[in-house]
Amino acid sequence: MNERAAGNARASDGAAAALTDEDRIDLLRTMIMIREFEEQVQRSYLEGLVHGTTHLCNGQEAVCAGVAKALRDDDYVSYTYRGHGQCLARGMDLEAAFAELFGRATGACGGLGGSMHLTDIDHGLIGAFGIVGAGLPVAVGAGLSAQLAGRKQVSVCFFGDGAVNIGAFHEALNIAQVWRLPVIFVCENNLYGEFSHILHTTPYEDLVIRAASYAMRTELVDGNDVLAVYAAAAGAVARARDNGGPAFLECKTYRHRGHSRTDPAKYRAPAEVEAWLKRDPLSLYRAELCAAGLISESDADRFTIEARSAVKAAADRAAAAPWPSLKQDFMAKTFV
Amino acid sequence: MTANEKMAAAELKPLQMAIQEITYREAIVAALREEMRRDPKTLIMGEDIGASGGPFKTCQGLYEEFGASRVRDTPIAETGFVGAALGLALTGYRPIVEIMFADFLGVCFDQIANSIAKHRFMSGGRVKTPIVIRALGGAGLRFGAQHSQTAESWLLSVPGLKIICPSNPEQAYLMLKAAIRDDNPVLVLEHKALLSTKGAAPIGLDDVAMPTGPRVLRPGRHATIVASLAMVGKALAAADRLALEGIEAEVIDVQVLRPLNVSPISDSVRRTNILVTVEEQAPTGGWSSDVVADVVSQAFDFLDAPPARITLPDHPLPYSPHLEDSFIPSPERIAATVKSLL
Amino acid sequence: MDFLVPKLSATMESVKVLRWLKHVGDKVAIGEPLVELETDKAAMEVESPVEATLEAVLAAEGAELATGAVLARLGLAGEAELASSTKSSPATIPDAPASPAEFAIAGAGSTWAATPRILASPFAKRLAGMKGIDLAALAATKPLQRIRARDVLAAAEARGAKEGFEPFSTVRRHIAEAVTLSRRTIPSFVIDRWVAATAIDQARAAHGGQIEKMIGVRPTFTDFLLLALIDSFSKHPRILDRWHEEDGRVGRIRAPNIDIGLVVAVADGVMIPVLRRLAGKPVHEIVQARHDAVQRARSARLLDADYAPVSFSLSNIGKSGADRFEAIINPGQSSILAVGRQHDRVIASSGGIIVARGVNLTLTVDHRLIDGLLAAEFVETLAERIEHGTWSST
Repeated sequence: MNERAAGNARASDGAAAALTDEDRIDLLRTMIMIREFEEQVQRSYLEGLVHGTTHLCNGQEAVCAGVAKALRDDDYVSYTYRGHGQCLARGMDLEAAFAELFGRATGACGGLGGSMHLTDIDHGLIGAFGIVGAGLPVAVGAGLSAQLAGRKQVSVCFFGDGAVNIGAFHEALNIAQVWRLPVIFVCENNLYGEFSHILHTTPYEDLVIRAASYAMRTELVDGNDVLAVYAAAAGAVARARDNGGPAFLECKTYRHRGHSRTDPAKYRAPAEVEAWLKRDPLSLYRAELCAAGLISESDADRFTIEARSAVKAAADRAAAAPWPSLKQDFMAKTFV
Repeated sequence: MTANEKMAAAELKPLQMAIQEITYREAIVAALREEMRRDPKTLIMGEDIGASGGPFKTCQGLYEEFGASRVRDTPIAETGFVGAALGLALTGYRPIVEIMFADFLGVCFDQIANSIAKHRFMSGGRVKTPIVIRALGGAGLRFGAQHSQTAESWLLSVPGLKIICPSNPEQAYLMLKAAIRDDNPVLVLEHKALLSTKGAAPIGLDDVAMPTGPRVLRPGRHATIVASLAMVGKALAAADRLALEGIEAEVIDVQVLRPLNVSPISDSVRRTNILVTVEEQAPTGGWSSDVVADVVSQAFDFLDAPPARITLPDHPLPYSPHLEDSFIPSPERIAATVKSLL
Repeated sequence: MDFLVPKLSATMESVKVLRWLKHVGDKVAIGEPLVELETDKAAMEVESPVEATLEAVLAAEGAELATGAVLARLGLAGEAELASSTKSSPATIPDAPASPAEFAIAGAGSTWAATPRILASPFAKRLAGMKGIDLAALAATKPLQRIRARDVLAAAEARGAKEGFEPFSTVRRHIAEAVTLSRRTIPSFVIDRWVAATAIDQARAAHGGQIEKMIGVRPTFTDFLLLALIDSFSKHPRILDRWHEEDGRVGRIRAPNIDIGLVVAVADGVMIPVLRRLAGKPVHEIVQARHDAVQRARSARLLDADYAPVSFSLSNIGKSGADRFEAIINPGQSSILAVGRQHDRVIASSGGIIVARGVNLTLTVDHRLIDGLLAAEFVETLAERIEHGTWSST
């Protein structure tokens, strides 16, 4: 684990202090729900219900949950093909999410999007981008929209460490900074771009260096510490709402599973994997809340069981939903 | 009255329609101005389109009227600002972007082909994507290989986009207005060599609609010539020459490349039995290949000669004037091709 | 452009490539010998029809090719490389087959490849069909050239020099030939009988809706006539005998099934699709078969089965003006029933008079096969069936 990241995050713990006990428990339950959702996706995939491929975010739950906690309902969120967590953290209906992954008519996108393009504009989700880096300029547009509308909204853009080497990243950061747009760039640095370690593709591990070269405010965050993520996000969001311009948060985290369904991730050293599994954000935060006496171990177990049965029930309902049909004339809905 | 005075006169009664003789460039500006007045959610972004009015003056006067936030200069970063247009569209705005040279569409191809064209579909129709991408293309100005392409073929095969090609001031005005009101992304391919051409346009007309197919600009019974952009004028000139010899050529402006509707062209060929297409593009992968294929499918029994396609040669456009001119299909060549098929 | 095997004599159907006189890349002038071919008559040099470059040789020396097959590809001279390019075949050069192999003769006894393809534009073919122009004859006058619409029009005009003359369409011509042959070769006589249509009208009212619900087609008067005919043929199968001549002997062919040809009016003529194996079919299948047959005729998409022999045809004039008419037997058949329009008639009934609605049945029969007594018995049976038989919906 990156020492500087850990130190930096705890230093800004002030914002997290404002969270109520309820908020803190709610954060844990969000992370549990995301974890259980992804586990169910894995099972559903093996049952043949999820098609093509899917990109799970196990191990990265603290980033989406922590950032989402700092947002208002009318803020805009864009993300990537590894985006189930962002959708759930923003409140997407579980059954609509599963139905979309199963390609059913009742899916959030009517079965036309799938796992890589799960989205719902009613939750401020402006899209899951399947092309690395492609979401950043779009998030900048949403930031411009927020600035023009003058309602103190922000646009949050999630992307991985792999995106910092593509042109769209640079064009987006530059425009956001020169126009001082309320855009929070959240880099989920999980050390691997697809199958490649960051140092094979990028000359350094700390990507804040990139953003700093655009004179952008940056923060290095322990992405496996949900309160640290929340604190950093809350600070950046507050500044952005106050016309303070964009910010770049680099959240150091780790993918528990491979890049996609077909990737067993054998390219990672066992010791590295073991070290990161010990820093599982969910276990850490659960222990923290228990130690603080906010919840008991049995409360935490109950949260998990409830989440598991909720996702199972939602997946079962989604699996019984009808397939989309050409007769529904989706063209009329999607092109007029 | 100068053109500007005419525009000023039109401004006094914005809803009063008047047929005016204006240039293609003025038609673009008039359409932009009227639509930006009509809908405050409309804004335009591009390189040097603000105080300087655009490198081709296609935004002249807009900055003065609408200010820097709605007539927005961008960095030289097509991926950045074209992508931003999608973010604006998804959050309630109707952005227009100007691509200074259509050649630069290559710089933002991913945003257009993978994001903008597909976003509405992938959302299951939950969002609208009212985006207009204006790109100025075309040869004949000695700009060399990287600044002379019409780029008509590039996005032809991308579902989710509309692509329109105005060939005269009237179409530039009416189609751009319709494009701005469209809830789908529309790529408007304009032609640099047409900017100063003049024609009558119904300035102030509010009742506009996106055309659904090609337009017959000149009727004829002996041959059908289909063209786009600057080639439409060449085709009309060829028809003039042919008329001197008693040959009546029908000239059709394809005008909407996506979705491409070939049926009216097939109807024309059922009457004339001869088809010639003229396209300012390399020979492969352009709209004329589709037009010929569909006409053969739809009107096979009415063809009295193999359809002919006139295109650029299969090379990048050259700089040297006489070479560039020899590349571009001429009225003489079009007329000779028609005669060879009669 | 493609350089094709020309038709060098009236009887020539194939050639052998003896020797190429130019190499790939060579320039050739108009009239310059390109290749030496061996025909059924002699070896001869064939000249280039254009000024060109020999781009590709597509038939090796020793190869056998049919007339019209591709020998080589020629690049037309004078096409500046650096000029806007035009992609089309010049109009004066014939169409080429998709691949040379398509026309190569596979071996002795292969006959399909020996028929030379007629080179004509699609529109010319369409016009030739409409105006009854023989494209093969026209092709013989235009070697190495595609037949164009103007050629067909010129041929039609030349043939139709008399003022007001309009040549027949193919359909019309076939009808003209058929009725002439019938009148010349079939000694026929006619008998007729008026029948009341009341029972059929009642049956249609009673069962029509149910059948329509079942198959989506509403039964017509003709459908019940067909039912009555089928029943009557079962009683008088000899009516369906057909005239046959073989090796100088004459005789009859007994029809193995009950098949009925249905005369359907189409543009500029009639067609006779055939309803097959009708014995024992339920009503809705008859209705469906009649419906399909009419559709086939109207869309000019007859099946092979429609051209196979049939003994009898039904011609129902429907609502048109005539009370009765006599039909001409289609050559190959032995009888035809003409049904006039429905009309009211005063008839004697139980010593009084009543007004009833009905139709005239007019049967034309081939006297070589059928005598008056058989014809009269058949018509009696048919009339009885129509007026007093029972109808069900199944």
